[in-house]
Amino acid sequence: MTENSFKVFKRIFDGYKNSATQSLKIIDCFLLFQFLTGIFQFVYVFLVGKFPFNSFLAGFISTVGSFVLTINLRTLVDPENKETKVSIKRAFVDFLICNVILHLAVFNYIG
Amino acid sequence: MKLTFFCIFVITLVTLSSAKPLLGPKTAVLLGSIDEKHQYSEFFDSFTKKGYDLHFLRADDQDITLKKFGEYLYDQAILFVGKSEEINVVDILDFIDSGRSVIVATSSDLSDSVRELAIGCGIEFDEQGTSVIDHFNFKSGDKEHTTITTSNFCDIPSVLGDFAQDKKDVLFKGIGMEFKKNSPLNYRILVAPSTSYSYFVDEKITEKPFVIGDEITLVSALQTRGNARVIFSGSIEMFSNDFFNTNYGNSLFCKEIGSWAFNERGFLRLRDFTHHKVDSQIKQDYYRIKDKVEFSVIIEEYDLEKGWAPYVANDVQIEYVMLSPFVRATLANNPETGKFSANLSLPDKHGTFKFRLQYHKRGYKFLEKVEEIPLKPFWHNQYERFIPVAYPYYLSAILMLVGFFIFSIIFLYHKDDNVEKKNKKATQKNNKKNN
Repeated sequence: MTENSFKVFKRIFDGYKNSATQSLKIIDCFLLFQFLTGIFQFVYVFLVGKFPFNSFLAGFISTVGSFVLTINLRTLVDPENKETKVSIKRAFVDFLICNVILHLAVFNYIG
Repeated sequence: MKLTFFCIFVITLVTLSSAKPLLGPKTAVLLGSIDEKHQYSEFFDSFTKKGYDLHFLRADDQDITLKKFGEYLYDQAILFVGKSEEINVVDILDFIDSGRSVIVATSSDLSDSVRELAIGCGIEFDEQGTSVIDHFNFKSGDKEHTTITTSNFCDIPSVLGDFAQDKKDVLFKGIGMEFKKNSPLNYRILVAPSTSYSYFVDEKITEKPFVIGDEITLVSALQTRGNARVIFSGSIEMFSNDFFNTNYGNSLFCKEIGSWAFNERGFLRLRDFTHHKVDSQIKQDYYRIKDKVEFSVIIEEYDLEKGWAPYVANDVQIEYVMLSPFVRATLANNPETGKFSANLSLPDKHGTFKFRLQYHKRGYKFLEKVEEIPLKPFWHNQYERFIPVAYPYYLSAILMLVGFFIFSIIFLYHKDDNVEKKNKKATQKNNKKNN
């Protein structure tokens, strides 16, 4: 039972390692980091309580928003994406501007 | 020369040492006939010694007025109306409403006007002709069992005064009262023993008596909202010399309740009602939520010899009220200065609040003082700037930005070997095909 599941996981993981380009792997690392930070904040508010609720919302939205923008960058950069054809530069500049706006809002609300 | 000096010295001594009744010394004493004053001479003398100026008048006299051209001629009154004298009820109720105290004593022969006066003060006497009878607690030698002895006193120390330490049985011969239990301004001072009842003396009892047992009030008191004190006694003989000169406690009891009635005890006043923020002495006209405020007031009690002396108590409270009290604190007392103070923490809700001092202690004057002052919310820059609980949130937002910065450097400037290799292979394949 477990041997089989191990084999399945290993196969998925090897397939991922072979097919993904290095940029995608870098993006995936960043995604994992953002996800973990978001989970950490959620657990923290669950334990400590909602006192500065605006601060919690701002911190949580910074992680979730960055996560969404990074996924967006990943779909545009992925070579196997056949529908949208956008240059890497254009995708990256979009990502940059959107992040700036998001964090502007976040730092004003975290107050 | 020496004689005049001596005279002046004596006069100043006398004026300095004389006690001063609070409202004034003039006391009207209404009796059935002026000759009766000898029967109660010990009671009246106890007042004269304290500085009261007694004016003896006939109760039936149509010409007596307590008020002339809008000014009251007397400051207190004593009514000993035990022989069906008619009194002017409207005048006397008006006298009481003005804040002046009255002692009323009557007997089984009370007139309708006295009953009316009592009803106007919240007390109902029994019918004319009835007496309080007790077949177990009576003075020995009394055949009709109407001179009863009782020891059921109230427990208000301010009213009983010195009698509270030296309680003895008291003799009573007269009519009983019924006391309405819901009345907040009336107090029962002397209550009949549980074996007594109130009925006509010689008649056979065919119906339930008006009051029986400890429902019978013998002496009761009223303190009006204008701080006039009225004492009603069903027995005028309780105050007489004959009853004073026995081994019973009539003498001390009557003198003590009389002195309470005439404001010699338990008459308070307050001054210096102040409040300010704990560290500063400036009086502000508004406070901010969650401020700490120190409140203080000085309360004094009138003493016949010393004048206004500091009041000592540990149950005075201040309330911070907006429709209902948000904060209530017991004031700490300084016995030398009579200063009562406390520190209050103002609540979290903003609005128009009042500092309210309400002191309604039995036997003492009603003290009420209210001061309204607004409570303002925080200004937008008075909130906490960096809240320690929220440090993880600040940290995560900063980390996102830092991560984004590092990520973008790596993303833009990394060398993708796989792609290069694939390109090389593709170009090699193409070259081969072409070749």
